Amino acid sequence: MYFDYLTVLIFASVGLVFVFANLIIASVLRPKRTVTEGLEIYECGEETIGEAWVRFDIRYYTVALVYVIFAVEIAFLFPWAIVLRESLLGEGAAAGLGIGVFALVEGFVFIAILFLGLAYVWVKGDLDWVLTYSAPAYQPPTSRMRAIPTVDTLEGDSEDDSEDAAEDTSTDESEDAA
Amino acid sequence: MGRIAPEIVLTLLSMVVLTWDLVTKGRDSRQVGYLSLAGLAIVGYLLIDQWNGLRNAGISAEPTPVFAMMTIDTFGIFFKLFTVGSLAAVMLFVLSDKRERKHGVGEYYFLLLGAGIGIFFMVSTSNLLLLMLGLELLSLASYSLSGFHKSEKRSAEASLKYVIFGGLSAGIMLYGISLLYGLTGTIDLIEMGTGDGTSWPVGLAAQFAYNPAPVAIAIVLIFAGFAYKVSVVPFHFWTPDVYEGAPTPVTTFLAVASKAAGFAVLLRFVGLLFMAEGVDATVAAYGDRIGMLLAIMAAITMTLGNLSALRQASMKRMLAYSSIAHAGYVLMGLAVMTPEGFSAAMYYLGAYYLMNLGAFGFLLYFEGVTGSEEIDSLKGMGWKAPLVSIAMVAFLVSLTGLPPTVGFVGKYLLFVQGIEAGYGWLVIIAALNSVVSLFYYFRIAKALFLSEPAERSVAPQPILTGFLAILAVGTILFGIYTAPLQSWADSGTASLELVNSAK
Repeated sequence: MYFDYLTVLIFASVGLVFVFANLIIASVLRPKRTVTEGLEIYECGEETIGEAWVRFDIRYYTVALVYVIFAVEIAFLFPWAIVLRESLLGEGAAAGLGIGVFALVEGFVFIAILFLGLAYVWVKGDLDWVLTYSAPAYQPPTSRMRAIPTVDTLEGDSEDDSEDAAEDTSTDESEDAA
Repeated sequence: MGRIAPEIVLTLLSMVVLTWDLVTKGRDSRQVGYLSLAGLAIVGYLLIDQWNGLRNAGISAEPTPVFAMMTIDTFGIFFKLFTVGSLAAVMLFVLSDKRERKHGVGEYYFLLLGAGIGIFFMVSTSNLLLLMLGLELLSLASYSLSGFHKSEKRSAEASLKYVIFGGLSAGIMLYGISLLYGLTGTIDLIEMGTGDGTSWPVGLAAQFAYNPAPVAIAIVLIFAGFAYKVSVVPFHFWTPDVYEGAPTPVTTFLAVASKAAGFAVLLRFVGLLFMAEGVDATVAAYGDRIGMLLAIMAAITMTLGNLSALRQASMKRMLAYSSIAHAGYVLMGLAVMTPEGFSAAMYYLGAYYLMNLGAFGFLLYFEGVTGSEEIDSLKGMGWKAPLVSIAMVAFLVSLTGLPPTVGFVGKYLLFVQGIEAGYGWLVIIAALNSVVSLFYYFRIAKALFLSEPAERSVAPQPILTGFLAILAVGTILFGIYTAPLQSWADSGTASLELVNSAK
């Protein structure tokens, strides 16, 4: 009965062989250029500055997350709209199969919840490209090791900071003990 | 629609809470907390109403599922009430956490409510897809909750560990579900169990005959996901680190509500697949092997949890290992594969609610006093805060499983079921483990009362003290007067319509 899966094995091995065979054939056939112009970047015509291993701004990640949420929303709403048209207006409604009005309301509830999320990131300032708080004054690295200021600690009162620092020291000891 | 009123109210509540927090710009997060507590009271009322409605009609489950997905039954309502109770307690803990900020933490309540919505859906469905959705909603909220103090190194570390472990186990579990779907042609547990192979969906019975290996693999993979949620060995590695790093109220939530929800889906999964009425005889017979697997997991889990707890200096970490050990005890009730065993497991979860909430509340109380979670820092504190400390001794007695507490009755029921099902060796291991646990639980009692009275004065925390006192009274009261909790657990199990597996 396991011979049923033989085709899968053959398919996988052909796939593997195909990839490497093509690479090998290409490396034999292709012209070998040694001039440096051939190795330069040509796609966008821009000269690179520095390396790619630089620190990216963390804000890219927030924007990307928000983008993903709304991309998924679109992906949900297309099929919803198609099905809704069927069950509200099409043959489905005539046959009494539709969940039409319910689905219509449900879809808008879904959108409303997502927009609450948008309102959340908006109010919290995650959509502002330039963040609303000013950077802390320069501190020498030794004193910087303690609490790294975040939005919360900067806005909060000063006693929070001292408490955080106290917690941090106790943490380090307990980790050694454990 | 009216039948899922608790879920709708809970969802609306979470939206209102978030909006309120946004409108007031997080100026006073305590108001958000009070609002959430009031909303939870409504949800609790609706659930009790549903429960009474079912009981008065003389049934344990509504005949038709809502949208062919959500079953309204006493089993689900038991765990939903459990969740509402834990959420309320956790919110009370957040409100009385002295180390928590008073403003700008409104998301705390929103995330807790979100996790609650996830639990509500996962405990009341036999549909694996909805179960997975609920589980993921719970997990996502838990990840962000455990990293709630994001500027604190331990908290961020806890969150990251939880995400990585959680993502991996969710992936493993989804793979198992997809295999089961491919094999049986359905994602509904009832259809999987009862299908006889002659018509579509084919069900498990036919696949046992033709493809025994893939079925076993699929079930074990799904167990991996559940084992992670309830922190059973070998998927327990995240537990101590996450429990230690997360803020204490969140740890309480993970140890009580999240774990009970994991057990709820595990009970329903095992019950419907192998023990429900109308399940094919070959499938029911296979259930005994699953029982043996669970028994071995239970034995290893409780032993490892207890032995690791012995060496802990931090009370929070000790409670984390103790919660692993308790997962092992509850798993005993599943391993016996009888309806009575399931009731015993549910009873034990009820007991676990009282005593573990109490223990974590005590931890929170003294974190507020000493700023430390070391057991040594409790030395002599018993004389300074007598009421809380005496309550803690009651919780410790119950956690160890000594009479006259609810923990004793829970263990007694589990042991009886274990012996009746022929798992004598497991009961012996569990009993030995209880003896071991006596040692580390009573280190706390010893530090509290058998040392010189501490110098430090303790500021009174009346609300937390009152809550702990209520829990302590409950721990002892339910240990003497066992009927109510037992009848709740029994009617919860009744709705699964289990029959004794072929023995």
